[in-house]
Amino acid sequence: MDKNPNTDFTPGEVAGQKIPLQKFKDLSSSVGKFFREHIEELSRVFVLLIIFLVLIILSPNFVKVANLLNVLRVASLNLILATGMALTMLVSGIDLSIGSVIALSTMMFGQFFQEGRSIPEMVIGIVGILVISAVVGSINGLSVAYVGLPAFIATFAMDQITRGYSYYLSKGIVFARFTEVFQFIGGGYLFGIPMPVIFAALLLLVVGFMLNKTTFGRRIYAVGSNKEAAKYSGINVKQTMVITYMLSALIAGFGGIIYLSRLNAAEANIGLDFPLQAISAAAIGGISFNGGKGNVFGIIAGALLLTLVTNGMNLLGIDSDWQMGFTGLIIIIGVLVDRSYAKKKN
Amino acid sequence: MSDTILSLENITKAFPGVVALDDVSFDLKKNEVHVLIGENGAGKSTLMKVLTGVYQPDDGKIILHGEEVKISNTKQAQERGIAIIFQEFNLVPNLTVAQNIFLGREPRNKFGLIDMRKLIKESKRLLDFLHSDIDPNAKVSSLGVAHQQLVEVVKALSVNAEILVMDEPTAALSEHEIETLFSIIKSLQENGVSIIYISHRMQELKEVGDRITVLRDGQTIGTRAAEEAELDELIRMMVGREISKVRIREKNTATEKVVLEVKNVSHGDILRNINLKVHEGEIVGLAGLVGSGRTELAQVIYGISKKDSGEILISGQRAGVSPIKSIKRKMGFLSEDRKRYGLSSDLPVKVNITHASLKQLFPSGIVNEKKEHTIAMDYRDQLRIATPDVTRNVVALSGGNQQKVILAKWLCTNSRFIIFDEPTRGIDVGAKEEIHNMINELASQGVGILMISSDLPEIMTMSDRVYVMRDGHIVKELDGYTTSQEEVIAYAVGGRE
Repeated sequence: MDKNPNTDFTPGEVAGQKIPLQKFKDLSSSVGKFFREHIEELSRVFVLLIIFLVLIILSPNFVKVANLLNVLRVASLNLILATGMALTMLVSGIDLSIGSVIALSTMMFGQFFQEGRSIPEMVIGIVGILVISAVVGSINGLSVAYVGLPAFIATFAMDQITRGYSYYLSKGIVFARFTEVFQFIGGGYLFGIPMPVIFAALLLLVVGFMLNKTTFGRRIYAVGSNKEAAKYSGINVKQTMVITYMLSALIAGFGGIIYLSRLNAAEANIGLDFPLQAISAAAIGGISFNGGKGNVFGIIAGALLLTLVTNGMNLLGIDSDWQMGFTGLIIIIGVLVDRSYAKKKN
Repeated sequence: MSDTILSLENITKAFPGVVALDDVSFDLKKNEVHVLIGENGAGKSTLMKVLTGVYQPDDGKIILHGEEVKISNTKQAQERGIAIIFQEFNLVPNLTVAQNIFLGREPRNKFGLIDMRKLIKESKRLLDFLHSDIDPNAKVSSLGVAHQQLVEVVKALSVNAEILVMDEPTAALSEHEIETLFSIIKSLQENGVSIIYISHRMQELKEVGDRITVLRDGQTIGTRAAEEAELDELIRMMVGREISKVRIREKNTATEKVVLEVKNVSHGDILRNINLKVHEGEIVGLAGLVGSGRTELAQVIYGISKKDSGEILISGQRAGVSPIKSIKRKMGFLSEDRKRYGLSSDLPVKVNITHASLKQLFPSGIVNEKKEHTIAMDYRDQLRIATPDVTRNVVALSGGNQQKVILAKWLCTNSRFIIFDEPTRGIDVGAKEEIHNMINELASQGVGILMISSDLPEIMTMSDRVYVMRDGHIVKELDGYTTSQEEVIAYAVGGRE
């Protein structure tokens, strides 16, 4: 049941629109000053493009609309999780508990989605999952910001605690056979677009707006860039961190609901590798582990890149053991490339 | 007390833009305590770094036991019997006393492992030599400052140091501990160790020293026998230079209204019963040596450190609780450490400028980027921040321009009271003058200013009033227009009470 969100791949499901190749052409036409300012982001787009081309050449199946939509759909869950992860990384933290948070909240509220349940009951379930996630995230934030535990330790401990408790709650029970309405959240389509893709896009819009256009976004970058200077500037560093961890877990819960719905089943060991998948995407996307650096475009590029590569390797029939190795290499290369940009800037 | 064991002859050392040592000569006799004094930046530390091989002199000779030597690193200095104890100790807190003493030079047994028994025995022997009862097995972190210093001394002795340099050894010690240190110095002297003793404290010089040499602006001003030296003369030698600069601030614009009032504030051993006032439109200089508690006072006023007792009022309202509260009371703070406390270097200039006034500027929580950009551009023009555009990251700016960005941040909050901690440290001459003019301009607009500075001419040419701090006390309040450098230094070093 615990599938890797990047290898969950079933080709040829749906027919849709043409490929948005035009997007890339538009980008390259308005280069100039824009290019110099956004060289980092553009380099990622460039890498994506290369992988894209390689896959087109290597595998005739790749450019099929069905496959491309599937790539997007598969990428969307990790995209959601990576967005939450990126927030904690922006305040120079990390959140290793996102998978277990999903497991725990699911074990507590999964029954509300099973066949025969009414819509109000499902709403209770969804709200319940989000609330539990937010509470766990807040505790993470409190122990990092106020108790002063290293984020790695605090969230890893929380991961163990919540995972253990969800095993205890489940007693081996598997929730399955969800109502059709609930299944639509993760499995449905709107105008031919998979629902998870729509949800991911909405989330990215909201988070992108928050990071770039709100004072809270300013606070996140300030805290991640220099905690001491932020404190001296009258920014409530601890509060900012607590809210950030809360948001990370809340977003994980949101992703969890979608995942649950798409799988149409849930057990206590879901999402074991979610944190690492999310960290990989964020890291490849240029979210710095030192905090204060990175944006939503990077997250999108990172998650897409990771999924594309996996998808490509699947199409090429590369053994899954080798795939893991490749993924690791890509993470290292991505981070190294980032670092060289950072050096050049200074 | 005759034979010279060390002489530094005509040492010159230049760094880009500044001659740190200019033809300096200095000698040390056997069994002697030779005191080296001078203001911050006079060249004492540089001279000692030349002696211990940290820096290579551009010109001049080091003569040890009558032979010219080249010392290319601290290890070579050690091998030649020269050891230095810095103000900041070089001890590993989680290791034991014995482990620290022989760190990196542990005695080995025949298996190549550390010979613990010998390690302890040797440490004990050295500690006994100084009549100390410190347990060689105690962790260094469990020791007080004085005992830690003693461990440093023992460490130096363990390499058979003949020449021991002590940089401000009493800075962190209490009265009683200082006495212990002096008796240790006596017994070192009796055992053939010569000591170069760097200090600012006037009273102790005559007690501990045999000779006193004064450095100023990288030059040797003179050497006196400790017995004959007069404090007033030493102070004159230290300050010496005439202020050629005219006062930057000509007219006192202070009003009757008090903007900052500090009443009986104490903070551990660092600040003791501090009282001071700053009026609107007034520039108050806070002078004192490094370590006298000036920066700590600033941090307590700003609410970064918690005071133990006393009261801090900004515009008559309680403050000193947190930076958030201080900013609400219209206070700004430019720290001496710009990179660490002042700036988010990886973020754009405009973002840095609005950091302290996000709530004020954008009460809805949504950033109006056009407004932010306009504000930042206005400050760029007003303060002449040299950057083609405000979306550039702060890290690309020079020190002077970075300081202006921080100033813009505090103007953006409409500060009515600003602390400048070393406002022009590490800033080039041109930008320095600009910043002085800006501070002056702010005061004439009614902003109250507390200016901490180690740059005496800055204090002398800018302040309406001057407070002098020493050892956590405010020892004197002086009129900025009539006081002299000698007077300020005399209070700062304790030459006058």
